[in-house]
Amino acid sequence: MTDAPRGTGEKDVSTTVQKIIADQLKMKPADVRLNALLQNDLGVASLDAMEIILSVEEAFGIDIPDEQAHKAKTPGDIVNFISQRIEQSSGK
Amino acid sequence: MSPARAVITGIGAVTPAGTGWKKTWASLLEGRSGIRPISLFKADGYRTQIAGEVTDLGVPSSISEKLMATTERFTHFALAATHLALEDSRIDIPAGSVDAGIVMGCGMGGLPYFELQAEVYARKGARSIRPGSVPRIMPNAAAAYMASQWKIRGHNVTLSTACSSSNHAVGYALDLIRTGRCRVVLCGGTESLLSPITFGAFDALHVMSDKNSHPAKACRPFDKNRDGFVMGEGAVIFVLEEAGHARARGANIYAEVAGYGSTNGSYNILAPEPDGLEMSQSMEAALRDANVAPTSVQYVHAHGTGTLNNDEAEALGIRKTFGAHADKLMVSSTKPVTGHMLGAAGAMGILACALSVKTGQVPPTLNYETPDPACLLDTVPNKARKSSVDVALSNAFAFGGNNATIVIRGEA
Repeated sequence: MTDAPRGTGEKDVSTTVQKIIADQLKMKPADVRLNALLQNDLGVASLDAMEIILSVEEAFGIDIPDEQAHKAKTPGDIVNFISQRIEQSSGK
Repeated sequence: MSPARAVITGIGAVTPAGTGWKKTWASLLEGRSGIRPISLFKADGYRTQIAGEVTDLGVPSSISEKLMATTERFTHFALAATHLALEDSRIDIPAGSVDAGIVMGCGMGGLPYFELQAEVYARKGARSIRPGSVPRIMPNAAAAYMASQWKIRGHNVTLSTACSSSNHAVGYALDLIRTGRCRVVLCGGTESLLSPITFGAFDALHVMSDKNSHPAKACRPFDKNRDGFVMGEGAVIFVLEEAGHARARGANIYAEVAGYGSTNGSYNILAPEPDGLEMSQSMEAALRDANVAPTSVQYVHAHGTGTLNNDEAEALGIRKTFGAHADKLMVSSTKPVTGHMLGAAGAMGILACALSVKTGQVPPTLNYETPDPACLLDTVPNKARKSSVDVALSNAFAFGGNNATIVIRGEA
């Protein structure tokens, strides 16, 4: 979806995830609150969720297993998962 | 008890000749061609570099930005045309109606998006193919989104028989009303195939005109110097309604869809039988279905693509069906104005027939300059004609030897 270079700091991860979700839902990134419920608050349908996960995977160069994707209920969950993966891969 | 009758009470058009039936109809009557050099992709390397593109798609405010962003051009056209048809009809279809249906014709659906994903696959691999591809590409996507947008929950069918698709769609809709399965059906066709590989596949068949330097003159149905069709795109959608229902609510009725006939040439996947028999049999079947004598017909909107094979066979087919009456018929093709709208082509012809019946004006065949002895007919050359039309036929013939004819009759 979005080919801009991604930062890997926590704030950069949040900003990127919010932008990806906003692009998919055609809303403003600022309206994508990190603690909003993806389905009930933001109106993310199942197909939206699949598009968002693929865009996130491409943006950060990681795989998100289906079971992990199903666990994500908020944008913050996605941000946390990515941040953990980045920490693991950098050996922190 | 005679079966229910079906009447057109709303017309929505998104065509290279203009958005809204009034703009399209004015372009047809005035002979303003929408054929131009292709702008939707870089067409330099192709034999044919011209087409009819929709340039003034007005997206209704009721269609969300997200819906537009997650669907393809052929679906955009269908949504916009549906909005226009419903507005024109002033019909109120209650949300959740199961006696309201949708029947659409669409040849190939979202192949342009498939092309983009083929490129993604080649560049980034299988796991980068977008999850949203299937509902963008499938030919019934347009009808599915029409249903969800307007909460229509009855029959929803998309027919795909290439260039005859939308004649079949309107015929199927007629049957739904005759049998009482639906009281109102949104029906017609949509298509948009102006993309590098899909267009290139037609280009490779050498069936399109290569008069690139004179786009508006390129498509020349029944003219001796015709050299192929010109591709168009767009959607034409009708509100087809059970006649009693339409009258009871005081609807404006354009015309009756009075008959539907179809044959299958079983001859050649890309060419009609040269003697026009399969086409003639389609017209005869439609006339029988409408219980109309050939001599009662004044106008035929021909399939009239401007290819050597179609026009000659169609002219012979018309002579077989109408005999001596063929010399009294007006026969025109509006494809020089809109281009060949493929899955929406039949509906475009039905629009021309319905408005001819309603207004007493017959659209011309543009670019008819040199008669071809092999297909001599009154093609209403180059200039619209004022003439009363009680009964008209719309022909649509397709690759696959697939033929469909619709009979349009003035509403008595």
